[in-house]
Order: sequence, then structure tokens, then C-alpha cells
Amino acid sequence: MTKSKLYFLLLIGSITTFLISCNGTKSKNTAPANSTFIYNELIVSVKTDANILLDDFNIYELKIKKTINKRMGMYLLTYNTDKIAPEKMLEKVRATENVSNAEFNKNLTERDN
Amino acid sequence: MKYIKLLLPFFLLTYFCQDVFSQKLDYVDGELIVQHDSNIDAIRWVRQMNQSEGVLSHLKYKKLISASLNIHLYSFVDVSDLRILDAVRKSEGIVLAQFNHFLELRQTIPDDPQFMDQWQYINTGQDGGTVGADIDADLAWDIATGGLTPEGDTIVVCIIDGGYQITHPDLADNVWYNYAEIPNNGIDDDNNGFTDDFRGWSTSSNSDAIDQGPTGHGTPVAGIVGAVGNNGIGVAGVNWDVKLMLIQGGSGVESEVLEAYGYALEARIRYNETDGAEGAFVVSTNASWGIDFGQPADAPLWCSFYDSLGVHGIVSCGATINGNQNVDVIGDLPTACPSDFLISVTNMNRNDQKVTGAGYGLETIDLGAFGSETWTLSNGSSYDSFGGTSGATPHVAGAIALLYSAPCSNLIALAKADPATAALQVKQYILENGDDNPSLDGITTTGKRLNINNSMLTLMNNCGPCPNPVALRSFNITDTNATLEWTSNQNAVEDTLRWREQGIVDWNIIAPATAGIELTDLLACTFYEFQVTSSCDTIASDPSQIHTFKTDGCCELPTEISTSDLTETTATISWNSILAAQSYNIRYREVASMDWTEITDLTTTTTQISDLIACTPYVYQIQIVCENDIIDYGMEQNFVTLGCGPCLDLQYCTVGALNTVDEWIESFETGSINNASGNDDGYGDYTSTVTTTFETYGSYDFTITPGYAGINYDENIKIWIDLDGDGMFSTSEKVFEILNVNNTVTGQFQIPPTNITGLTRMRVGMYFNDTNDTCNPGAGNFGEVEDYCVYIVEGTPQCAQATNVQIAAITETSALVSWTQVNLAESYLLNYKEVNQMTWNEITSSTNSINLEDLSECSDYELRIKTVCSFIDSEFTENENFMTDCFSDIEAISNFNDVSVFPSPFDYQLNLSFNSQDLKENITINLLNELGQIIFAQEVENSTNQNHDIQIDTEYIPEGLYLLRLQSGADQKIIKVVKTNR
Repeated sequence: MTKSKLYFLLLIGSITTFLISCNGTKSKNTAPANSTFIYNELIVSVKTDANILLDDFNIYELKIKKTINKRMGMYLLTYNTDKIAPEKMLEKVRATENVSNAEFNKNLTERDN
Repeated sequence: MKYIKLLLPFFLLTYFCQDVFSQKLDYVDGELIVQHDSNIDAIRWVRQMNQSEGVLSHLKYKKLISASLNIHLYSFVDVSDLRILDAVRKSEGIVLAQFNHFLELRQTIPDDPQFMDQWQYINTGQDGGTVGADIDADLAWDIATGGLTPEGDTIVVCIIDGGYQITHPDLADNVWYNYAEIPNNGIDDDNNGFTDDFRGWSTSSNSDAIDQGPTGHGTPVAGIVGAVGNNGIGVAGVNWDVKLMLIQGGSGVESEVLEAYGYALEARIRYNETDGAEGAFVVSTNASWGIDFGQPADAPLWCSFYDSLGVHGIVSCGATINGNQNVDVIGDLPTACPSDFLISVTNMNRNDQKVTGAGYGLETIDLGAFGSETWTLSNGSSYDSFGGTSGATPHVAGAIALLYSAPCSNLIALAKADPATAALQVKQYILENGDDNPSLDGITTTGKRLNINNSMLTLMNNCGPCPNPVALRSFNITDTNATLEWTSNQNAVEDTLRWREQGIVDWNIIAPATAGIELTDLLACTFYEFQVTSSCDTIASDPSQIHTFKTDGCCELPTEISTSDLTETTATISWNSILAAQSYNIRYREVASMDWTEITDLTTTTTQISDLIACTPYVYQIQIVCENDIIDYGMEQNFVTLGCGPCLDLQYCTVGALNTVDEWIESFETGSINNASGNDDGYGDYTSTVTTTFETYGSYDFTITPGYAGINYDENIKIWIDLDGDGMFSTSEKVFEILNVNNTVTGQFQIPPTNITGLTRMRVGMYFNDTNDTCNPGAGNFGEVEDYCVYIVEGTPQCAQATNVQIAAITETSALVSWTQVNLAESYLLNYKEVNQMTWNEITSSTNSINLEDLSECSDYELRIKTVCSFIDSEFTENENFMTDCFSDIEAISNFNDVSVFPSPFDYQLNLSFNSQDLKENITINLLNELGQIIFAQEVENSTNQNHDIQIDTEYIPEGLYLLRLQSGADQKIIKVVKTNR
């Protein structure tokens, strides 16, 4: 392929991308409704040992992804959303005696304009 | 404001160099400023002086000015000012002494060359700004410019953002480093839970690579808080000198934000626990990011984190949504979090106006700060304007740090003894001392815009070893009694309360007084005021601010009036009890009438009015009858009786937040509704303004036009009608839906049979993200919802007739019949016959088109259609007539022989055969569409082979009527053919 042909193809590709982005069929830059929540990740504050929680929810493949704050017993957990609906999972985790509170992890956006 | 004279109750060291006797008498009467030797305890010294018999016995200690320089303010009475000054100067252990001078207000301006572009500090009207619309930073800098507390603590602000250019020449010197950590040795040297966190922390890489990631946002945010000031280059931050604890990666995901906050918290806890030996004196955090429409209920851990930070002395600042949204209603994270230790900030422009595209909230958003086009650092060691609430908020985070650098040792002592109280006090200085701003009035908790100098001055005025009591309040107020409370400083030994009737000169003194004291024997309906002074060992505080309250017992109108228990004919009216009232009178009338009905001599605070007319608006008033007075009827109250139908009688769910920054419902039309609503900020309530009538079984056209700010995004249009009148919209009540449209939509819906008649609710929704939830369209969704009331009346229980019947593609033997789809139709019955026949042929179709076949050529036909529904079928349509083609009509001069075209209709291939023995020239074969456009052409040689078989590929041509044209010189044959997809 000659260089001029390559540039031509790149130009066509760019124009196509531009047209697709202008016709309103693509999603917005702004996060769509369901992208705020990261449904397969829970932020959980435990009263004692997080491993107890993992044992309790082993069937949902609950795992520690990261320790957020050891002093506050706060962890980022993941689980398999194929095994349980996210809202149900959150409800169950919150209802656990060892858990102070829990919430879905979320995406944030910067606030300049 | 900058050019008026103010009393600055602190001493500038440079003034010690001046000869006091050469000055005019421009000092505070009865005050001296004294610097002692460093080994002198000022309190003890003044106590010793008080016990002497000389002139110094008149001296009273007033407040500490600088602990590090051992400078104090004293007061005196009943003695010559020059005599006492002279006596002090002659005392042992005195370094310097002088009167407390009034000073001309001074500005302190850094030498940074781009400083005058920073209109947020001094607004001279540059670039169309409003003169004086600034935070008075230059005046505050006359007191302190940041860096260290008066006790020598290094002040630290924690910034959580995407990344930073830490080599920026105007930032590098103010970056915080964790010198307890040895960089890159793979060991958590300071045992704080973070390994190699020398330059701060990156939550995304678990290292101190804070200069990685996008730095275009974090760099200007950090620059606003603490670009190095007075260094001869670039710009100045709110703090010229401060340490910026930079945490990278925390602006994208909540879990990383919480980890970042945890890093700052750990540092401050260690600092508090080790008296500054470890950790860092973090006083504020900055969050120039968030979640639009986020709900605190979905973030209990995040929101409570601000309390955890606050308890240990850290005030957090959050940027609210960059959209003209009421955060009280739509929610926002973090700025709707309810923590006492969070300051939620909105955005102001250079004309001191709230930026239109910035959030607000009377209960959630605290104050405004300048953010729009503020001049600060940018990437690439450069400078640029920066904006949004992202730019506003770091001004507040920086202001908090600046206050801690003020020469007020007591604040620092408080911060170490009681970090939470100090944090709340600093927050109070920020919030209560902004400039009143009309564009924020009534839509923020304070109605104010940040003014750092005001905050600094108030802090200094309250700075002393014995601060005055705060938080004065009154409660349990009757016509004779009131309970008074206040909060004293921790050094207070005893409090003195003084109170009086407003307007009376003499105070009543109660000493000692304890918070919670009850005043008795007060006069009814009278204003009183009180204030409290604390005594701390040998010194007394200044009196507190005066708190005013009014006793009960006024003959006045009630303020809490409500209407409840509405029925079609009755309403219950309640109001708060008025102590002085002997009885109450009520009068009411229909809004449309001028005739009042009066109920008199009521001795209770609730009554039911009856015999009302259903679905009718009423107005009523209350009158108070006291022993010696009658207060005339007060403000009119309104209600509407039930019976209007579900639309107004029932409480439909509130529609959750929808963002209309890009799209909204521009207009909606159906029946007699023609509503060019425009942008309603996500929800338009038109239930009491426009309506129309729908008959059951009727079909109704509508038009909905989206409005777009720019790109025509695809939208999902849905219409629900509460057909069972239960106050909700169920799935079966969705009467129309179309997905992914980006322009005006016209459509039709049918009203099915329903038991409801009267007004019911119609909800029209346009959503960017598809949803079937009529109440909560989903956080972050775009679009708009409009509610209307529509009258449902009983119509004829019949299917609608088919309309717009079209007969096309007529050949000798076939015709294609089509019509408009009818809502709720289960099938269609089509009758057809030759006109001269008696019997109808019958065909049933589940779709709205039928291809009639095996018709007779050249014959007149008629047809009619009936719609079949689950209830009563429609009547047949009027007869439609058509005539099949005649072969003779389409044969012109033709010597083509044995012409055959098949199949008819054709699908993916059309076959043609003919004989050309009577033709003289070659043959051209064309297939033409209804517009006469040639879509197939072939030349056939008329030579030896005179029997021709032609196959035409028709797979990809649309359905419809076509003409097959055979031409050879003057000879021509045209055949109509029909394409259908089988």
C-alpha cells in the first residue's frame, strides 16, 4: 500500500468517525445512567475481620480487591454478578452483623468546565 | 472596602521601631501592646503588677498577640496613658511597649508578574469584571500569607486529583514530602501503611508517582491552593507558602478517593497523637470532582468519611455540580453529604454572580467562591485560566489553611487540644464572614461568597486566651419564661449573664450563670436580649454577641396553617395555638365567588369545614380574637376539594432527576394540548394548565418535538396514561413507545376501555438512556418528563376503522392493498369483488397490507376493510374501487412474439422469454421503477438465435411496481410487473 493510499484510508476513517459521532447514535461523553455505579464492586466497612465476610459469601465469589483503609476496616470487594443481582448482594452484605455499612463503588468526574 | 479605615486589633512588629512620642494620638484609648522577654509569663507579670500600689496596678491583661514573640495586649483605665506607658517601659523584662494604634488598611501584594491577572484576589474590573468583586486576599495577606502556624506547625492541605506537574516552577517549592519515608527502598519506613510514599501517594499505582496520569486538572487546582507566592514568577496561590499533600488517581473512582482521604487522615491522626513528631498537620482537603445527581443514601461510607476527617481536625471542601441544578432536590456527591465538616462550594464569576451552570441548594450548598476563568497554573510550566466549581473550591480549601497561619496561638492550641472544635470554628469563620451576595441569597445555606479577609479579621478579633461564649440560643419560650443556653470556651471558670428588655438601658446581671438557665416573670409579647461573658482565671472574655428573643403572648396571626383530610365535600384546617387568643374565626369561599362563609368563636386550633363542592378551589383566612384586640383576617390559604379525578386527587410519584443540558421536550401536541414547553429543567408539571379529552376506544394523534442544545442525540419516547386511576403507571398503561429517534415524532395511541372517567394523569417521557421506570429514570439520565391531566370519557366501544387505504401495483391479475395500522387491532378482514358481482371474497390479514391475486384482467373491482379487535370490530370502510390492467392497453406497436414473464409477482429473480423473428433490429431490455428510472438494462442481438431467455437478478430491489420494457427500433412492448418479498 502506498503512503498516499494509506493517508486516504485514514482520512476516510476520520470522516466516518466524525459523522458517526455527529449523528447522535453514539453515546455521550457524559457517563450514561448506569455507568455511575460499579455494580460488581462493593466498598464495605467491617467491624472485625473481613475474611469472615468472604466466608459468608463464598458462593458469590466475594473477594478482597483492595484494602481502602485498614484503620477503618474498609475494603473494596468484588463478586460475581452472574451469581446474584447487585442490589440483592448489597442488601445481604449490609444486613451482615460484621458489616458497619456498604455501598457500590462508583465512577466520578472532574468538575472543571 | 479596601479603602476604609479599620481597627486591626493586632500589632505589627515593625511598629516597634517607631518613636511613640512622635506619633499623633491615633491609638486605641486605654490599650497597650507589650513585648516581654521570652522568659516572662505575661499573666503572672500582670498579676504581680496588679498587687503593686503603683500606676501599673491599673493594668489588665486582654489577649495574646504572638506567643513566639511573647507579645500581649493590655488594657487600663483611670490613669494617664503616658504615665502607664512610661511605667511599663521601665519595668523589668520588657523588650518594647507602645500604644495600640489605629492603622491605615494596607494591602500586601506579591511580586509575581501575573498577579494582576488574578482578578479573584484584586478585581479592578479587568476583562469586564466588577471592581471589588474579589476575596480580599491582599488584605488578608497583610496578616498572614500561609506556611506555618504561630507555633511553628507546617500547615498542609491535601489535594486529591488526577495528577500534578510537581516540577512546575511555581509549585515545586510547596509540594509536601514525607521525610519520614526513604524513597524507593521498598519499605514502609514510617509504618503508616503506605510503602515509599515520599512524594505523597498515588492510589492508582500504589506508589508516590503523583506526577503520572493526566495532570491538566490537578495542577491548576493545586496552584489555586498554593502556587508559590512572592517568588517573582508567575502567580500566587491563596497561600504563598503552604505544603500541598498531593494524592494522585483519586478523582476517578470512589474507592480510590476513600483511600486518598484515608492517607490524609492517617497523617493527621499521627500528628495529633505524637504532638507533631510524626504525620502531618493536614487542615483541609480539596475535592474538585464528584458524581452529578449522586445520592448520599448510596454513599453512606463516603459521606461519613468527612466526619472521620473532621473529628481529627480536617475540614473538607467539595465542588458541586457544574449545572444549574438544585442539589437539595437532585442530589450530588459529595456536596449533598450532610457532614458538619464538609463545605460545599458553588461557582462565581468575575461579576460576583453565581455562574448559571453551577449547582445550588438552600440546605446543601454552603457558599460561593470564584472559579470561572480564574488565572492560575497550567501544565507545561505554564499559566492559564481555569474554571468550574473545580476552580472555586480550592480557594476555600486554601482559605482554611491561610487562617491556620494567622498569628493566633489560641486557635492552634485549640487545634491540638480539641481538633474537631477548631475545625468547626475555622469552618464557621469561613462561612459566616463571606460577603453577602444576592445571587446566592435563598439558594445557599449562607447566601455568601468567600471573603478571606473578613474571615481572617473575625478570627483575629476572637483570638485570646479567653474567647467569648458562642452559640447563644433561647428555647422553651412562654409568655413569662425562657430558657437560655450558650457554649463557653474550655478555659472559662465562670460565666456572667446579662439580660434586659430590648430598649431598656439597664442590664439584669446573673453571676455565676450556667447554660440552661431559665428566666422567669418576663413580660408577654416582649423582645429581650442577652449576652454572656466568661471569666478565665485572671482575665475575662469580651462579651458574646447579643442574642434576641421574643416572649409568647402576642395577639398575632398563626404562622403554621395547614389543610388536611380533604374529601369531595370537606376539609380540615389546623393552625398553631396563639397563647393570647380567646377564640378564632375562620371564613372561606370558592375562589370564583366573593361570598364568604364564616365560622366564629372557635376555641380549638383545628376545625372541619363541610358542604363543599367537589373539585372546586377554595380560599380561607383565620382571624384572632384576643382579650383587648382583634387581629384582622390574615393571609389567604388555598385548597381544592377532591373529586377531580385521579390526576389531581392522587399523589403521583415525583420524577427523579433528569439532566437537560443537552436535550429536553421542546413541545408536545395532542388533542387540544399544544404545549411549547421548552426546557423545564427535567420535569414540567402541566396538570393544572392545559388538558384535553380522550374517548375510550378512540385513537389520537400526537406530536412530540425534542429540543437540543447541540447534537441531536437519539431519544426514547414513551407515553403513559393512568388508565386504572391508581396513581401509578403500570407497564400495561404505556400507550406509546418509540426508541432511538432524534427528531420530531408523530404517532398515534388508542385509549382502551377503562373504568376511569374524569381527570387522570398522562406522563410523557423523553429519555436518552432507555428506562421504563416512570418515577426514577436513573442517575445520570438525560431528557425530560412532562405531566398532563386528561379527561377520559366513555366512547363507542368499537375498533377504529382502517384509514388511508391505498391500492397500488395494479396489474392484469393483482393489486396491492395497504392501510394505516390501527392501534389495538388484532387482525383485518378485507372484502373484495368485481363490481357487477353480488358476493364478496373475504381475506383475513394480521398486517396492514394484502396482495390480491388471481383477479380478472381489465375488470372493475371494489373492496372494503374491517378492523378486528378483542372488543367490538369496526364497521367496514367505505368501498374503494380499482380496475385491473388490460393487456391491450399496454401493447403498443409490437412484433415481439411469445412473450412470457414469470413469476408474477416476482421475488429474487424475474424471468423473461420471447421470440424476435419478426424484429429487424437488436433488442434493448429495460426494467424501470415507478419513477421511470432504469434499474436494469441489457442489449440482445437479433441474429441467428431468435428465441431468447433472460434472467434478471431482482433480489436487492425494493418491493413495488416495475415496468419491463422491450424495444427494437420502432417495436416496443411494456409489461407491468410487481416485486414482493416472500
